[in-house]
Amino acid sequence: MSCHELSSPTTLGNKHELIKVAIVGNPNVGKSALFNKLTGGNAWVGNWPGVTVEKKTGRIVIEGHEVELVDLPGIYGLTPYSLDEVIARKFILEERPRIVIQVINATNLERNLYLTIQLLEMNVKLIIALNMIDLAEKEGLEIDINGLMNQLNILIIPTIAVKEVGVDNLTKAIIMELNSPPPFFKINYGPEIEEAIQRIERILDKCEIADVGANSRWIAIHLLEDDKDIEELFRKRGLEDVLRKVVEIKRDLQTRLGESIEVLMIEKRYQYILSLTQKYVKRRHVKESLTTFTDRLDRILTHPILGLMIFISTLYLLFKFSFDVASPLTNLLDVLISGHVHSFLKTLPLPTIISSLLADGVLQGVGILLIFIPNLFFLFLGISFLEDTGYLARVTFLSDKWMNKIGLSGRVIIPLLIGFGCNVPAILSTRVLGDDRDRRLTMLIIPFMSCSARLPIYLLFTLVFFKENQMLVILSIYFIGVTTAIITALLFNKLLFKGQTSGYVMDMPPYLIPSVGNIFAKSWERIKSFLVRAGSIIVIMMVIIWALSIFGPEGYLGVEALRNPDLLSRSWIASFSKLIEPLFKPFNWDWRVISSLLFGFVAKEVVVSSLSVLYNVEEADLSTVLSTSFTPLTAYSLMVFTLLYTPCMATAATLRSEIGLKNTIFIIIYELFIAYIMAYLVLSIGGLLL
Amino acid sequence: MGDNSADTYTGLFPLSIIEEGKTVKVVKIIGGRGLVRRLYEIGLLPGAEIEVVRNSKHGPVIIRNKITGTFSLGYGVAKKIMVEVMQ
Repeated sequence: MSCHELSSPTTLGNKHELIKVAIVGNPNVGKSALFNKLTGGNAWVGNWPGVTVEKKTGRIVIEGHEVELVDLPGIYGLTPYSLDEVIARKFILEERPRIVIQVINATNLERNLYLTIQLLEMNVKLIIALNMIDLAEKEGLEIDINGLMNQLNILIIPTIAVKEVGVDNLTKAIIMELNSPPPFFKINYGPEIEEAIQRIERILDKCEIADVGANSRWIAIHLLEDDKDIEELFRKRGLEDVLRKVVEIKRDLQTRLGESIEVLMIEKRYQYILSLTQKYVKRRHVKESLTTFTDRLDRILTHPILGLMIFISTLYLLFKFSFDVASPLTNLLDVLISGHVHSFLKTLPLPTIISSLLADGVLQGVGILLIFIPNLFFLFLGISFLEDTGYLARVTFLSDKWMNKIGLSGRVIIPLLIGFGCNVPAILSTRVLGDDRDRRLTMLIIPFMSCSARLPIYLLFTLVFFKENQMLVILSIYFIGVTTAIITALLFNKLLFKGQTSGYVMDMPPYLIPSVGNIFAKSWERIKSFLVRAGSIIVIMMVIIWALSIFGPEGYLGVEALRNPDLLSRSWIASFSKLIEPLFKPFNWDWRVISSLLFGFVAKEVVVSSLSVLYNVEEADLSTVLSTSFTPLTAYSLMVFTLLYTPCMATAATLRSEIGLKNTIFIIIYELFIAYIMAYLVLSIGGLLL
Repeated sequence: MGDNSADTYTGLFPLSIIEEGKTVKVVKIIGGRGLVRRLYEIGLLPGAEIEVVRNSKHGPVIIRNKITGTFSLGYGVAKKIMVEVMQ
């Protein structure tokens, strides 16, 4: 097979075959909303092979055809920049979906059509979902859809994803397109470039690269544009001689043009796009458009002082909302799981060790997961709401100046915010960062954002020791976390990640009223990523810890060890804690506190329940015991220690999958070290003051 | 660029120091390949005219142009875009 033939001949639809349809689009075009409407919420999240980026797929049946829809990350063009975009392009190129649906924001045709042109050049079968058509009308845009459709020879379906308008037509279009031939599309790049393309094509025709997934003209165009991935592919195939010839052709062309080939080619595409929009889009003047409304609001919300103040208030409201709304649910779940279900499992006619394994190991782990959910869900609901209104894009803008001071870009603020809910989705959300340096540095400081699992610890200790200033003391802990993050960023800027952030490039969408369904779907997705990644680890770790508590150096201690502090003090956990006890001499923490901290590595909120077991009291009576074994100062230093000492298991596992075991171990050690130093500082400075 | 009358802008300047409300023409972009390509692809090509909607000085900018739409560029990006001010 020669290079210019398609890798997979277009087979006509047999009804039992699974039809792959990819959904692509620029960021902020309503792609996810449309995906959710198309799949009716029946989507599942898996991983892309080889990488840890989540892959959203959903299956639907249209007129007897089974269709698999794949939601690809947002992209502007087919030259990848961030990890997300590499995936999107790879999928289109290598997995060759039968049909690609591009979701276009109708209010910004020009920029969106750039991707369309690139897709058409690949000869993919394309359907356009012209989304937000209602907003375009409000903006005074009249788009001649039929004209555009005939000119580009593809189907264009107007849609309003949030209101489910046009979704049926879109599914019909998928079936209509199944058996049509792939479109033929060519942009004339001018005589010099065209000649170079043909010269490269002739070279390509003599080699075996049929499986690249595109026609030889497309490959030639991308070689001219210095597409590093294609070049890499050629090198892997031992086709260096082809690349050398291409370099010669490029040098030749460069001297003839006197300008950057790449710029000229992109310009040609935009010229073509502008010729299209001049012909098919009419602009009426409207008095009160969305843009003028957005501009007016932005004058306040992106104001360097006013905007920052509003941001801080919004942040406060966000946390207040999520904690207040969630707390009754959290309490209810707690009572149900550690009370009713726990005692139910104990009454089952099973050997004691099995029922204890279920109740004290597995259930305990499941309970930890479930109790997180209300809190997380409401926080994510708030964040998704702010995201969909367009406000988070403004927050990015506002924070850039401050983030630059610690060597990061404003884009990092969103992962950090999510980190206050749960570090796991926060780490996952760093994937949108284009810059690897920014990404690594952000992952290093995310664990210092005090997640909701750490709050119960602060609540317990502040209730005992700082009853009068509870809120203030808790805030101070959050503040210490943020300060440690800043110091860490500054330190590592000097030591490891030299240089500056490369900044960010981000679409500023107009302010919109978000769709409720979309916000719920988004929040649920974030929760799911926590459950999927953290779920099994927490349960398994809980079982391991359970085993280490009922066994000791002298052998099996019996499940009573979990309730009996004397027995428990002979367990493996206790032995180990006693072994390292001298390390914590300055803090005056005995082995029970150290054991609780070890338990807390699984999930930080476990520290509280472990303390109650180790001190052999009910959680409600824990405060009395604590008030005798701690002083306000040692309590505060313990709070600081739990804030900072190592990311929890789930976070560590996520880190490992993102940046490897070595880096994760480094982060854990670094954070243990910092926690120790900071707790020690609290103790010695506090000792001087008091 | 302390005093800000329009006449003080002659020659090439980084976008990061241009005041709000000015319209500028992109002359060149200095930076890594990935970033340059990204900016080209959203329509910020040499020759493109852009309006500076917001500039927080030594911070990020918000720009607008017919093709690009409204975009926010971090300080790190804005200082790499060399522009000339249009009259």
